[in-house]
Amino acid sequence: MTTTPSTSETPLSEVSIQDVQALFAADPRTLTPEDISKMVAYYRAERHRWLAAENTKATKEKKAAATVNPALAGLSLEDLGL
Amino acid sequence: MIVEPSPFRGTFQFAWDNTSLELLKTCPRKYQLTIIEGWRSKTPSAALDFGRLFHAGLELVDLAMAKGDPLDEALHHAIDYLLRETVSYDEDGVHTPWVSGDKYRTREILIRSVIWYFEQYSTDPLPTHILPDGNPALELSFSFKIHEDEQLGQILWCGHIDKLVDFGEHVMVLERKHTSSSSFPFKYFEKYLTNSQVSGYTYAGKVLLQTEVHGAIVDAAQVLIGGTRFQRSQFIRTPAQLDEWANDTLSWIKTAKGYSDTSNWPMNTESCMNYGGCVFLGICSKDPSVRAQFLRTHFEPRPWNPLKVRKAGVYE
Repeated sequence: MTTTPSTSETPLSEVSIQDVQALFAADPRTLTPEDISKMVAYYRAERHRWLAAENTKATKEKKAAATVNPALAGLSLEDLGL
Repeated sequence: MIVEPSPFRGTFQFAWDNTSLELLKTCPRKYQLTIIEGWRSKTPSAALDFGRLFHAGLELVDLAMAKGDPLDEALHHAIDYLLRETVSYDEDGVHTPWVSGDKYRTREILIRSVIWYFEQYSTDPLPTHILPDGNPALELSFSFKIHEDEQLGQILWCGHIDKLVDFGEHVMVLERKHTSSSSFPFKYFEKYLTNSQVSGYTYAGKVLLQTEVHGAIVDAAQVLIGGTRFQRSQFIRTPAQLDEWANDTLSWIKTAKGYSDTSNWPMNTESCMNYGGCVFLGICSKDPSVRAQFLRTHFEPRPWNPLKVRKAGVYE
């Protein structure tokens, strides 16, 4: 016995992970084109969140790499014998 | 029932594809068991299943868009196919979704990766090459003579190019791969520098089109739990490199002829532990007298035939 997921009233902009999980759990034969549109909308929104998180991570890593080690901050080339 | 022509004369393969060639290079015994005897593991491979489905999803979108469907409609078609392909039904009609046993290769990650692929490349699409007859260069099954002599007879090179694309002024083969490797992207792509599929398909593209095909573009997807990363790289093959590939391939085929003539397919024990271990490790490690019994228990006959023409929308 299969049940149709109850996400048909959810606007595309508000599709939640629970909605998508319900769609994945459903018998694919019962899914409507609107259900598949919800999956697409959800994963497109997910991609924006993922890319934003990746960018934030990359920026933090760049900043960390650019930060001068305090132990070396006061050193001149002369101090290093160069 | 359609009977496929055999790619063998006795135990000598005359119709070769990249899968056969790579297996021979990896281990002649693995080649014998897989290609000549046609054994496949009964245990599903998450990587192979996921790869086949990912590939099918992308190809279905390409085909629908080539027929004029807008992206969203094409995606619907592909997602519907993938969802249906990844469930099984019991005798009462109750469905069970596919569980691969691999945290990186789930139904959700499959669907997400197909949707994200077309998001990733929406602003940087590679136009499908249009063939002289006006058809898009999609799903090109090929089989043509690459050599003939008294010792080997006629040798065919076979395969299936998913897509030829226009890349600037060049025509390139498009290959799409997925990986869960942490070496992505830099180390991951190094293997394509000398990869025989890139060379062999470039060679085939030139023969099929009767024009310069410069190499392959590899779109690779790194599947992770939280997201899918994509990277596109191009791999050029010069005419001299393609000649070298053809010569090397012929050398390997002559080696196979020698193994076939002596009915001796030696193990390459240096390959046993590559990529997490050979699927036949549990067979080759047994005494030869009991191997056939173990093969019948853990493997099933599913012959590989490079001469089989793949039909649109059928993904095996």
